Amino acid sequence: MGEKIPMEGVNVSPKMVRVTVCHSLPGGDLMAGFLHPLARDRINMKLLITKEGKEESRAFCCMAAADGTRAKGLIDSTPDMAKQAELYEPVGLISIFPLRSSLKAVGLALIALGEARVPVHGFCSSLSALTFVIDHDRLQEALAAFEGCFDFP
Amino acid sequence: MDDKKLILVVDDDPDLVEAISMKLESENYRVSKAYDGIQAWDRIKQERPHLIILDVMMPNKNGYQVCDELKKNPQFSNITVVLLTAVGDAVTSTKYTHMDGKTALADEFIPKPIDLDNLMEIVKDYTR
Repeated sequence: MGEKIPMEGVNVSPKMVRVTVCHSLPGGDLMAGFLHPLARDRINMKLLITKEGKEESRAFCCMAAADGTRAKGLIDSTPDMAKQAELYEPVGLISIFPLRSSLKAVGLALIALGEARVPVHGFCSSLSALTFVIDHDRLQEALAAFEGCFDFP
Repeated sequence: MDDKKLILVVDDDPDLVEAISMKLESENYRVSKAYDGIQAWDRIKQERPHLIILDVMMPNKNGYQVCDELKKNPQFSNITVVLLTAVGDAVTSTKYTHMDGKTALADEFIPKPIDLDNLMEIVKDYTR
């Protein structure tokens, strides 16, 4: 193991619900059909990843566990959406920061999680943070894995 | 001695800390960062910033507690505190109320989501 990369902090979320919606409509229609109702019902998303391909669009988001039931109700009442939506819980988010656009940090984090055999549902970077979506009951293992390659205060 | 004013940015959202820091640095300020109330106190004691941009909702020690302790401590009470508040309509899940804000001794209050230009104007006013 080489020198550890210094980080200023790590955040671990409480239990969350992962909602995945897959749709054959273009991305814009997926947004209208899925995300607008969530926004109207003031369901806050901690993280959102979208993907638009030639044949399907996907949205993947995480929200507080307490909002999962409300979100399911909205999805079930939206035509064509219910059969394409999947709720999975509990997941947790683990974020390290600041990333400083370091691809090395992304690689080390992925290797660390892989070696610890912690499945990754998804990951994304933002202005400062690198965030991984994993099973909530694996968060402590993920944290221990990260401590092997990053220095936290 | 560097005559740039030192601003301490405190928020548990690292992306917001980074966004505010980038804006401050572009306006020629020095920036220190903290991600919870306890880290904030460490920075205050070590670095004595000219101004603190302080979030309310944070783990370990919230912004109201940090502000209250700071303003009651004669050693630090003259440091300007700008509180970032998220109460009322914008954040339905918050446990904090407008009354908490009224009893806090902060110099300025800015509601979240924040307007960075407005925040910069306030920072400039207090650091002239």
